[in-house]
Amino acid sequence: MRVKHLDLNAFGPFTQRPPLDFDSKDPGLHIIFGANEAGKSSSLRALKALLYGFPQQTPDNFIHSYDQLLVGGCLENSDGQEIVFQRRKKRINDVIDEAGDPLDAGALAPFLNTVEPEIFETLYGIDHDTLVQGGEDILAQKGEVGQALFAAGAGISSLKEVTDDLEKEAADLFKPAGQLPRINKAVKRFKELQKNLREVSLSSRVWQAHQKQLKSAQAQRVDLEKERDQKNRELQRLDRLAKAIPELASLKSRKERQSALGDVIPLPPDFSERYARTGMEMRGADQQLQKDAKRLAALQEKRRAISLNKDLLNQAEKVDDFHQRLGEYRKGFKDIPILNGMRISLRREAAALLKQVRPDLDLDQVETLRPVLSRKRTIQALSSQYEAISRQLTQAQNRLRSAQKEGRQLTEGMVKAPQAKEPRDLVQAVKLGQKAGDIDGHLEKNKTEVEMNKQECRGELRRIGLWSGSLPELMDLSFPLPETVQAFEKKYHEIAVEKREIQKELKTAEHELKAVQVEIKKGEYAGKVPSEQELNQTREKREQGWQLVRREWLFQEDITREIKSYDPDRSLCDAYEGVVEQADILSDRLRREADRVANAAAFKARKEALLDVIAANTKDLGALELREHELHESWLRAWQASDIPPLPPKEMTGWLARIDKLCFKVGDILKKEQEIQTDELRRKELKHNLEKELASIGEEPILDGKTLGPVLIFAETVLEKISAQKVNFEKLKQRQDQTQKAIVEATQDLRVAQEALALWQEQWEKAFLGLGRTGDIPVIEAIDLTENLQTCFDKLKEADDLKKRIAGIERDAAELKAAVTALVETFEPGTTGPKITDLPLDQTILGLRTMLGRAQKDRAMVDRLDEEIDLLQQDITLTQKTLQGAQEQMAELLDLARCEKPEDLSGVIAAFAEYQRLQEKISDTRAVLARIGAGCPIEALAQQAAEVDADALPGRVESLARDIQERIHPEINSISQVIGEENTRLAAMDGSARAAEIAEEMEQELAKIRRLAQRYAVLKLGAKILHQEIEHYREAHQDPVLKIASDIFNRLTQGSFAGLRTDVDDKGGPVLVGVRPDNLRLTVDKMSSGTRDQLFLALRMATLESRLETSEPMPFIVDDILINFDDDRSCATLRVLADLSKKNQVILFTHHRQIVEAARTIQAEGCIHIHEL
Amino acid sequence: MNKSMFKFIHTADIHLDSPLKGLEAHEDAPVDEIRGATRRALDNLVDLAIEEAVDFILVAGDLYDGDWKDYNTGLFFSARMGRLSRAGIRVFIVSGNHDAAGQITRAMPLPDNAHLFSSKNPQFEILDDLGVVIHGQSYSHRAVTDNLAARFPGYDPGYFNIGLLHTCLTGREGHEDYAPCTLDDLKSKGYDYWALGHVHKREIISQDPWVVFPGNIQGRHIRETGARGATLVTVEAGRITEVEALELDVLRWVVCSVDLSGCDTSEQVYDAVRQALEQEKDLADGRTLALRLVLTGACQVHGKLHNQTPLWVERFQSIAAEFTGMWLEKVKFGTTPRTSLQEMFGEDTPVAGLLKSIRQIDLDGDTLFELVPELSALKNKLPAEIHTGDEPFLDPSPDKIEDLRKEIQELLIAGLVQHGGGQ
Repeated sequence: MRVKHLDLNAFGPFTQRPPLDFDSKDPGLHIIFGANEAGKSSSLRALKALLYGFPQQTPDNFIHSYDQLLVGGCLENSDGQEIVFQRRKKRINDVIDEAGDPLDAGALAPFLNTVEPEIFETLYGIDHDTLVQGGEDILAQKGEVGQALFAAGAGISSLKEVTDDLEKEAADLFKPAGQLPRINKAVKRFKELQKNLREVSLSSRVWQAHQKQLKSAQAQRVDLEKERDQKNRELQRLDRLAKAIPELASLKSRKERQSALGDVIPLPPDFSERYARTGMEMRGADQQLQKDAKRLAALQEKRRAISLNKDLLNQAEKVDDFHQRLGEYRKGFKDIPILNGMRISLRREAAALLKQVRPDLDLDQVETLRPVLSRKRTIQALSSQYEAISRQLTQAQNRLRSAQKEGRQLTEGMVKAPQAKEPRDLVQAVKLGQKAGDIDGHLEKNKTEVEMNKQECRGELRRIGLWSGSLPELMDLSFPLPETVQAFEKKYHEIAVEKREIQKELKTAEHELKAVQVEIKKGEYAGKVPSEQELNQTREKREQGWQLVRREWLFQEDITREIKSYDPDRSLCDAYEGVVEQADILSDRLRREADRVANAAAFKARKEALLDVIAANTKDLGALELREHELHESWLRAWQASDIPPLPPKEMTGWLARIDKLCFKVGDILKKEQEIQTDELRRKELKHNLEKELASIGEEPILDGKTLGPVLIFAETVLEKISAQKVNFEKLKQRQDQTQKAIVEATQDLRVAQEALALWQEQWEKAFLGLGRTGDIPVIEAIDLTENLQTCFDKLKEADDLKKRIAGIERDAAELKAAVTALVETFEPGTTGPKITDLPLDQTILGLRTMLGRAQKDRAMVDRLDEEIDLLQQDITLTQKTLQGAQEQMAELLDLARCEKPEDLSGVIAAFAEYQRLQEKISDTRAVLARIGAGCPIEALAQQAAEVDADALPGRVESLARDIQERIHPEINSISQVIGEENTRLAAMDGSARAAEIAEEMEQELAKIRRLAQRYAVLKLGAKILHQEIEHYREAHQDPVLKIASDIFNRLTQGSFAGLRTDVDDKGGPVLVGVRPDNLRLTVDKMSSGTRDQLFLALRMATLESRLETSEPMPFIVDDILINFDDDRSCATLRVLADLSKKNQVILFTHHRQIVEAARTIQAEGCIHIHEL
Repeated sequence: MNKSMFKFIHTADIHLDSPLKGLEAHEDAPVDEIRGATRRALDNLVDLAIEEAVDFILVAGDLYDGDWKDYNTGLFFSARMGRLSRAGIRVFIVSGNHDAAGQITRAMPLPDNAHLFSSKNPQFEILDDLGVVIHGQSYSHRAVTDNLAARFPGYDPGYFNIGLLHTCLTGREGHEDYAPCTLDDLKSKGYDYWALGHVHKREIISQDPWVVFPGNIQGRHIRETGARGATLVTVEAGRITEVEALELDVLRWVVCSVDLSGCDTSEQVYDAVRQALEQEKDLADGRTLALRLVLTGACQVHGKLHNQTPLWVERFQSIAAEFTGMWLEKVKFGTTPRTSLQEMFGEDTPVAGLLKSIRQIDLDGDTLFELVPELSALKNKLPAEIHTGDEPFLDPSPDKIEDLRKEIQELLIAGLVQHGGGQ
């Protein structure tokens, strides 16, 4: 495959750059040159992006954003198929055709030959770093052939790093005798855990042993406890007997004493108490009865002594009522004189008011005036109407007066106002003047501008130089066309370039000649180089000698003369021998120093060739100079017409451009001057017109000068004045009309008001009819009059009301007195002596009230005494009942005790008490015995007591207690301790998960070991297989690749090395060596770093070439690898690349001008194409 | 008077205290969360039995793990039986291949509520209050190859008949063929329910009658993925009305496959992995996860992944640590390059030759140790456990050799491409 062109549409610094055209006859070596920042790296990235798409991130988005990035191109494969496409930065559909439609992703497959991007870069790309790294790696491997071939073949810059990484990682994992590597550590940890597990594991045997021990101890304890309990029981029994014996004795004696008491009458438990209580009750009741009888008699006596006034008590409510009405009665009598006074004063006030209205009438006649009062509202309404009517009247009169006055003033004013003039033509003239705008200012500005521009142009003209004269003259000058100048420039340039090239070639040739001469000299200094010619001469001489010898020896000819001329100094045989030896030496040397011979010959040939080149170049140079002179002559001729001495064409291009610009400017100035003249004419005409019109209406401005402005302003002022006069006259006329109308309206209003007043007068008089007053009543007084009359009536009514109240009070008093007298009659009708009714009424009532109070007190006393007597009689009845009950009780007690009399009772009670006391004692003793017996019946206890020897008891008790305390208890304690210990031990075996956890940790460690061991195996096997394969590759490829590489290396080093060979190192491994032309072998460590780079490059190119036999070619992308190569080797490398490029496209990126220059020098050799960015 | 309704739990293969395998401890690993997983799963069983108030529990073999000798395990089990006893729940146990010969089984005195069936003959236990008869037989030694089921008696009419047996039936992948029998053998007995054990994956073999493997209650390695637990059976009026799977596991094993086809950058790989892990975490219902990450897909980052696998594993571990309770068991780098290696390296390049060598080199058994003598030294140094079990070191089986070959290939290609310049 090869790239036919690369389009940098939008990428890095490029925007729609013309395509980089790689379409050449053969695949070709394409050198892409760009100075720093010209976009060389960008175009390299663009090429890769075109083939394999944009990477995730790219620095080429500084002008075009990611979604704008676009590269395009055309690829052609060896089948002659072509594809033209573009690529965008997108995840899908990034490949598009020229029209922008997406292409199938597989469309590129026939061109990329399934070479993945990484592999493409590895096999078909090389840059300076890879080269250096590859070279260093070859050194690090000491030229190990397999490594070098493999690395170069696979495009690996650092194979050693790969193998080292593998070994290092493996060493970190495991060392057979190590402690620190990770596997060693993990195994150690695993073994520790194994040990821990054994320690914490609990075996079932141990657990069972403890369980057994626990059970046997528990059985032993049960037996001991049984024995202890038995002994304790015996001890208890004996102890019990010892306590029971004295109690049994005392029980017996009490029983005997009880039976001695004989028969006893059993009494209820509360008998004696009941006896004492009954006696006491009987005595108490007797005493109470006597006391109550005495008190009853006294109370009855007291009751009889009181008598009651019942009649009065029955009338108590009425007496209370009188007492209440007494207050009212007293107040009425106090009020009467006051009320009377008020009545008299009211009538007096009424009389005074009447006097104001009608002085001729007295109070009794006042009723005749009441009808007037009924028209009070009408009067009020009329009086308010009067105000409105009189106001209307006044206003109408005022308006009429002022309108008439204004009418007179307006008539006078109109007579005085001046008549306006008719200025139609003036208006026309002013409008024309205004339309011309600020013609004065405009003219002034243009003039100044023109003057300034003129000055500038003159200055510019001086600065441009070469010609002087006025500006209008300049416009008339004629110059050669710019195209003509450019044609000259081109011709000059061509000549210069050609000259430079020839001079350079000349210089190179001279330089090389010097070098060649040095080489020739070197050869000469190293001893004269034998030549074929010399050998031939010597052989010829030898042949001559031999002929002479033959002649002398075989034919015995006399050849003394010939001998003399053959060699004057020696005899023939010596001379011949000498020549034979010389020829042998020469031929030997020729054979031995063939290289030197050849070199010398080559140098000589080269020298001759160089001399030819120099001569040819010198000739060419002369011809060129002649051409240059002719060109200069015709250049001068081209400028003769304008009489300008021309500078070189390049400078004249600039001069022409500036002059052109200046001419343009001058043209502008002339145009502007024309414009100014026109404007001035127009202004004059306008001004004249205005002045004429002003004069026609008699206005003469006093102005001179050319300017239009002042005249225009004057005319405008005149026009304004005329229009103001017109407006004023119109206004006056309008006002006169308005005044006339106002007079008519005011006269109308006045008449209406006067009619209203007449009507009102009539109604007013009618309203006061009946008042009896003659003559007009003023409106203001009329209201007061009616008000006074009203008040007068009101006061008379009040006086009447008071009179009625006084009569009421006197009637109430008489009624009260009659009622009191009637009451008193009811309860003392015939009483002689002073009667209570004879007293004044109020005292009679108070007396009645006192009598009533006394009677009520008596009645309360009688009620209380009656109640007390009642209660006392009830008490007496109760006490008698109690006494009877007590007597019945006593009879019952006597019956229980089987006695006749109460006196016998005490003896019976005493006997029964003694019996009871003994019985209690016996019960206590039995209780004590029951407690001691702890469930054993008293009879059995007595039986046992009878059976034992009481005196031996304490001894037996003590011995038993000692046995229990000192033997059985300690034994139980010790066995319990054993049980406790076993229990603790078994409890400690609690089902702990400790062992399980360690097992889990062991599994985790195992997992780690497993992983690391696997990794170790993979690493070691990988390293081993890689080594084997490297060796294998060497064996298979050493010869063909090494042969090509050897050739390339020879060319790259310009013969400094004849080629590459394999050799054997100290350890017997194959190593690469360089072979000098004199067969000297140089190991890589003795090579310079540049030479090592060339060695690596030779290997890379050799593999590439050998691949060509089996694989489709792909462009070989070379990124500035020549940095460290000297000029000669750079040239050599370019030549080698050029050779490769006949079969496989090579694209070389560089930013070194000398590489391009170097390429140009060998351009003649064919397929090198240079592209500048 | 029989109870008309009763419930029982059927469990098996508890392998109490057997450790979880294949989990390598690292800094962020949730070590505490997985501690004593089988014990905690058993606790879950006991809690659930008490909560559901079941009437009895059946343990169909392999209560203990074969090689385990720590008697504490038995004591722990005994303590849990005590809890069940206090709740009035009876337990019926047969031993299986793993615990038949174990010291713990033999030495452990069982509490009153637990019964271990004899290994000599089939035995039966009658539960009169429930109207149930349980037939069962323990293993007498590890490798019982007789058909134990054949000797079980016929069903007892008037009772609900249960058969309790540790068997592989006619063979189950990954399980040894012990006490083999056919489904027909079991059906011919006329029982109502066959409570089987031995197969670690839950499986209902038949529903008429019910023949059930409940699976183990806690997965112990990556081949035992998914939910684990016991089976809760409800019987009403002599008929099974409900068979419910109970989830009891405290740690769940998961294989999480992540397709990286679309990934071009490391960031995208992290995102894809993080997203996949999040999904698994959501599905786990709050349980701790032991997760195997399997990366697949033809992708751009293939080379990057294989160049530094240990580093990537660490990065994935720290992503897993972002989710609490997640243990990254292993990372399998199963991605492939976008194009085949052959297409990438062609026919006649050094790398193509290398690939061919890797394909052809003999990696079988001893040749391996001849090739790299250091591997012998390593083999001798490693603990015996590495060479046994399910994944022995340098397993000579063809599959494993193929894996090894592939691993070597990825390692070398990644290394070479990494140093191929132009990067």
